Amino acid sequence: MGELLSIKNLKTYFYTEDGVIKAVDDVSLSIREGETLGVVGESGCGKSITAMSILKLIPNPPGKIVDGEIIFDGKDLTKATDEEIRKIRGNKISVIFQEPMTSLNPVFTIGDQIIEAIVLHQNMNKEKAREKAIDMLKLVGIPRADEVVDAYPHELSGGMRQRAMIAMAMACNPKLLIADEPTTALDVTIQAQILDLMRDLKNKTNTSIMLITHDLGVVAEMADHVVVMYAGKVVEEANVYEIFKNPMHPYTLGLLESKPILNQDKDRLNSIPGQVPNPLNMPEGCYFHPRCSKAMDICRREQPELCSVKDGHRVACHLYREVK
Amino acid sequence: MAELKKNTNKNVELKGAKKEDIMSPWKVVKHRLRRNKLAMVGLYTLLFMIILAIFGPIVQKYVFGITMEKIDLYNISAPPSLKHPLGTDEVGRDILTRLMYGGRISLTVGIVAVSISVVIGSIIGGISGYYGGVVDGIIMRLVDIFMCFPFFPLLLMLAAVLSDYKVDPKYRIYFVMIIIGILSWTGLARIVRGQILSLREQEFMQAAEALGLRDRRKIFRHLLPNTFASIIVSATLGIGSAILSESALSYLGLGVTPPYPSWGQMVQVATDYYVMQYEYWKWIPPGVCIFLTVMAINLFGDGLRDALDPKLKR
Repeated sequence: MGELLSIKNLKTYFYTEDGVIKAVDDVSLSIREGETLGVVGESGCGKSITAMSILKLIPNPPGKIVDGEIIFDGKDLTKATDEEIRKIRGNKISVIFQEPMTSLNPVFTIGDQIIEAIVLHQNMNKEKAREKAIDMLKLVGIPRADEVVDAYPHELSGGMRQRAMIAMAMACNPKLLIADEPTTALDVTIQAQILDLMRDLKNKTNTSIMLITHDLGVVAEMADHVVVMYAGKVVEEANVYEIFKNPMHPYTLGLLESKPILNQDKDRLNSIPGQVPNPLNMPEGCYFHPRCSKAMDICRREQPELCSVKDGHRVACHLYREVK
Repeated sequence: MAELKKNTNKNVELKGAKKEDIMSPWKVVKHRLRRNKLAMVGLYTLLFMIILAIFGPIVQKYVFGITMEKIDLYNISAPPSLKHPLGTDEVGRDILTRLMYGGRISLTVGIVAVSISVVIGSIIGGISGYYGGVVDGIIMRLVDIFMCFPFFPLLLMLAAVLSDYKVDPKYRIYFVMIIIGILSWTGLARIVRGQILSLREQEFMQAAEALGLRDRRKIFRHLLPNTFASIIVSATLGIGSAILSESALSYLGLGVTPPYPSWGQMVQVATDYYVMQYEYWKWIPPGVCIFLTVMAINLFGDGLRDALDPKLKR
């Protein structure tokens, strides 16, 4: 399994009137072929911005990729021209958005929108593309696909729309599928179906998935490898078993503790005290130290670096520096 | 058993019919429009005018042998009679026939002028709204400048220039259409721009971007169709005002010139005191035609706006 995508020291900043917001600050991660990478973190920690940076979907201005490399298929996407990136979008890398209700254009039928993607990237004529669109809809488990293809988005339920979105994203057999909180807006049963579907598709087509979520349950179910982000930085990275069995960073620990567990007699869930710091006014040292129960002196002064503590398990915390 | 099967079949059909009903947004609009009686009156009046303008002259020519230029020397300035249901004008031409030809011209002016303004307005509004920033600033200032032009004096001036250059009366009407069209796109451009400004921030546009579409395609295939409702309403209402502009121009003798008739130009005879007082058949019919058509268009346009407004649920 070779590396499909590797992000090296990516920095995406937003230049606002109040100052520079470092939404993504020196993030490195990589996705191998056929692997599912879970990116976890609180709201506003830069998960989505990292993903959108890959396809240069950052609104510019105010956003800008300041530094770093995004190597996809041996090519640096940060240096790609608009024309090149356009050929990759929707073709080799597709995105599923969070809101299925608003991510489809209300004035076109589902079919029109899938066909558009296929015609654009695959040199197919309309009739063939239509057949392919129906096939894709069948593949994502939509009943009566040949009727739904002519339906408008408002006629479908949220789950159906999300399936249609996935069909659209998968229509060109992308190598990488970026799923930006694909199940957040859906109820739990539909959520499970959608996740099953994505896993099936992954196995069938050997597509890599970058799964952005704040739901650790989803991560446990789907991901092979997990990256935990906090305030624009990667704080911990390991494979999925390691993360759940042996979490190291206090933030990851906190996230895992704030998750409900069956058969446990507990009235309230634990929470991590405090909030994500204001990105305009980041604390000195480790960004997490004001909320960290294990904060030491050094945490207030020095920012920890991401170090390997075990094979494939990296963590950015001063607690583990000695271990190494 | 057979009956049961039949029943299920019927059910399926019913379901199909219901589905058909919610199929496209346009069907909803049609349904709502049908319930608006005033709008339907407008629509039918308008259709009647259009049919009269298209087929009337053909019937007159081939059934009664009357054309708009044919002069009946025995009946000059004759009041309505069986032979000339609306009388004749000062050179003995049949008023009814001229009215029909005038309708052709007035309606064509309205439709063509509005088409021009819709094309210009939606392209410019679309580009301005999509790119925003500096592009938007420049285009909107241009629109402001266009809006500052005193519309009517400018029309008069251009029409006077046309007269001076002795443009063939046959072609003058096209210039009138183009002039009205070019001067009236600004309002539409603003409407379209405003809508696109908010539409482009919608999630589906991010999704469209993630599909790798070009800007051109995003603006004209994905954004503009979302503004069709307001474009249609503003265009419908625009036809009415274009017809009025043309009538006013022709009334002042600067639009369509004889021998070609237009409603506005036919009303012009009322400037003569005698005609005004005694020869009512010369100016009332074209006046009524202008009134009815513009009224019908406005009623229909209003109804259309209500029908296309998704927030208005009754």
